[in-house]
Amino acid sequence: MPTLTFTGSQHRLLLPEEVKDRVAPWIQTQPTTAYRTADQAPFRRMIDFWFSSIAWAVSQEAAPVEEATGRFFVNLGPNPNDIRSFEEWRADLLTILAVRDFGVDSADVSDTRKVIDLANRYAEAGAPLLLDRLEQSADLALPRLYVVADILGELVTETAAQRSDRSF
Amino acid sequence: MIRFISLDVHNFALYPDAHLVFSTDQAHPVTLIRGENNSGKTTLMRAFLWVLYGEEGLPDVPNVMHPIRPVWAGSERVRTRVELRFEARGSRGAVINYKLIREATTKAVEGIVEYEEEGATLLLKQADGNWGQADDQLFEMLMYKYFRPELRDFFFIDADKSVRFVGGPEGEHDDSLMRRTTSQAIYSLLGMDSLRNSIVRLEHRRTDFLRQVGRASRNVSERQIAADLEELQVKMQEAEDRQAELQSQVGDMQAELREAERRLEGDIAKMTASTELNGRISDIEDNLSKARQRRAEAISRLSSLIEGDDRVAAALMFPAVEAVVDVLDPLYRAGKIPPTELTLLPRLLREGRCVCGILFKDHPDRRLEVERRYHESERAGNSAHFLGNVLETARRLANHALGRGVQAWAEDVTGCRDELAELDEKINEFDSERDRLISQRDAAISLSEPVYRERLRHVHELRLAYEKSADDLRTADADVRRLTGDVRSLAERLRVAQTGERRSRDLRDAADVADDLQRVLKAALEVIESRQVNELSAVMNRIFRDVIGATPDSNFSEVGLREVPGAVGPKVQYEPYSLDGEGNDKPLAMANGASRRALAVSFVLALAETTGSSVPFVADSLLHPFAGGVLRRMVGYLVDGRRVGQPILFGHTHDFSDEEIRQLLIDSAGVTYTVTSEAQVGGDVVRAAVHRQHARQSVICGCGIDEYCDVCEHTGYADDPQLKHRDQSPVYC
Repeated sequence: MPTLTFTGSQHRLLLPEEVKDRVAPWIQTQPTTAYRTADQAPFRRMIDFWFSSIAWAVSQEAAPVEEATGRFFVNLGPNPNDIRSFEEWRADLLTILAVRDFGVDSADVSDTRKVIDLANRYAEAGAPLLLDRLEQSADLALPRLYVVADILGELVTETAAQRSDRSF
Repeated sequence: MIRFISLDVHNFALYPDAHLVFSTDQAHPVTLIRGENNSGKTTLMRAFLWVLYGEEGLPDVPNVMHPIRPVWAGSERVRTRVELRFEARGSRGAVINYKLIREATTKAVEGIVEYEEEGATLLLKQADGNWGQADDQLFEMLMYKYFRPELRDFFFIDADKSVRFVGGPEGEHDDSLMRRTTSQAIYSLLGMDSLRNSIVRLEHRRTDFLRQVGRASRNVSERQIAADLEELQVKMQEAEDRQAELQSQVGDMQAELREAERRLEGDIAKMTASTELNGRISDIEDNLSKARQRRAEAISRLSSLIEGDDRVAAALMFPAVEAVVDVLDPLYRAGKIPPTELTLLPRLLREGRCVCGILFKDHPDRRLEVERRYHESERAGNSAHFLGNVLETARRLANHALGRGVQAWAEDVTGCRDELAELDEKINEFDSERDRLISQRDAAISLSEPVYRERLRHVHELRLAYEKSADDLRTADADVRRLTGDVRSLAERLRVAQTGERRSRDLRDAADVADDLQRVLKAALEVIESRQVNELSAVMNRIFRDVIGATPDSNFSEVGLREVPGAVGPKVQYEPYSLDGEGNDKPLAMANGASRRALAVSFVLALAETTGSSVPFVADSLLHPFAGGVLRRMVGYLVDGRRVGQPILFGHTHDFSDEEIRQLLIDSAGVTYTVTSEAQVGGDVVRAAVHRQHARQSVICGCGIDEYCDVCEHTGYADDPQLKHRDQSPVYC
């Protein structure tokens, strides 16, 4: 059972305006009818890039922006037109992020608006960083999926190595 | 000219055998055969007729079963044979000997004679002395030339027959018989019939020639055909030139077509190689497709691992997860999350017993206390529950982010990456190989295909042109064949026309010749009619005067021949006429028997004299009606040797009793025979003959007219002072 249910009400997910053009090559689904293959566009939807931006910011221990100024790109909510597929583990990780940042005693940890707002601010902070990293490793001869896989694999392996003594 | 040589008879009527040789001596031309009445002279005459004319030539003989059947024969079959040898001068003047043999078989059946197996054979003496058989054509020619049946009674004449020329015997005068027999004799013996027939035949031939000329001239003119042929030959030469040109053209085109087809086959070989490359390309593309499919699957898996997997997200957000666990775990351990009361107190209340063991029913206050604390815990419980869940989730995600969870993820990602790397390499290899093969194929095709297409088009055009030329050549061949046939046909027509023209010219020439001949013959006929008949008439009158001895005072002082209109058609007929001393016409119907015979003999002798000595003159009893000076003059006339040809005279012994006549005959006769029969001599003489057992047998001896012998002796001969005995064997028997 998810820690929080974000689809019970409508939430606006945001990404910064300035990364719009940089993000586009990495996203399969485009506003127009154009479509990129999975190997060239590692992120199936914009929400996937949005969540990865949050994760990248957390992993890089970047602080969220004070206030999300990002550009609305999708609604997350009960409306059928809103994005539906918001996996449980995403909700769990956003909740954990909220518990860490708001504190266990804060009533905001269970306030989904506050949690999404926090996520938007992390996304705004992490998106440029993620793009920098991706673009740093990007190679025209190398599929972008490979770039992402290599970056993430390297990071995950490194994290696992650093925490090899821990167990939960 | 013809001369009888001999006559042999065998089993003929009265004669078992007889052999007569006729005189051919010009100084002694007469052959005299004397005998008494019924001795067999006329029988010998019949032997002449039979050997020449067969059964049809024989007159009926009273009281005889058949004129040739031996009188001594019974009912047995008898073979009769008569052989007449004669000579005739051929067309080149050479004298040719002939032997005419006639044979027939007779037998008597119940009193009637059956005549059968008759046959006549003409033999001629060849240069080597042997006899060879003449063909039927020669036989017929000789018979027509010398012994025509219609003149049979003229050549073999007797006094009785001769009167037919003057209308028959006294009291039976018949003008038509007279004119018919007289005209026939004149026509035949003077050659008028031959001339007339020749004129008619020439007319027919001329008409026929002219008709054929007409047919020949109906053909297209030779010149027109020759012009057509020349024109056709020019056309044929043109057709042959065209044919030769097309043959050369077709040959060249065929060679060119073969070369083009050979090049095309090379192109096809290249295309085949290209097809093999296509197969290999297809295989590689299959592999490439499979590799791409596998890559797509791997990409899908990798994509899922990247953006749909909580492990990598947990790993990235591990600092937060770790921090939360670190904050909440102590609370959990302290029993604050989740609060123990929320699980313990409800259980205590349900069980009615405190953890210390007292029962709440016994201690209500305790119960109330437990209930109060439960309600207080319940107010903070929602948060504690939430945090408990957060902790539990954080622990789970932390374990995902570390250890086996993320390790498996990393292995999966690495596996995908390796697989993708391998697949990408393969795909690159396949792409390269495919590109290489496509390049090869494209190179091959790019090298040959345009050329191939051009050559294919060229071959197609060449084939069309070749087929058209071949068609033209076939047409030209057909034209040449047709024209050859036409030329041959026209040449044949020209040849026929030329032949027709030649034949037409020949026919016209022949018609002209026939016309000329016809004119000549007509002229000759006119001459004969106008001169020879007149000459015949004059000779007849001369003989009548000189031989018969007519004088101007006689009842018939002048005789002759004159024309009378023909009974049928334009053909002129002739008849004898007679005038008295005053020139008045004396109708022959009024003449007595002696005058008639005298007139008739005059005509016969005149005819024989006029026609020359072409045939023997065989006369039976011609002298018998005459006596005295007439007889002497007539014998003198006959034995003259220049008036009639080869006189063969049959006569009664008494016809020659006159001394002067006898002497004349003795001097002029080359051969004399005496015919004797039983009727004259009784049995003695006859016994000397071969078949003496039969009556009426006749024998012949060589006695002259003033002789008798043991063969011919008969009653009175020995006592006749004019006859002397001939003392010699009967060599002619």
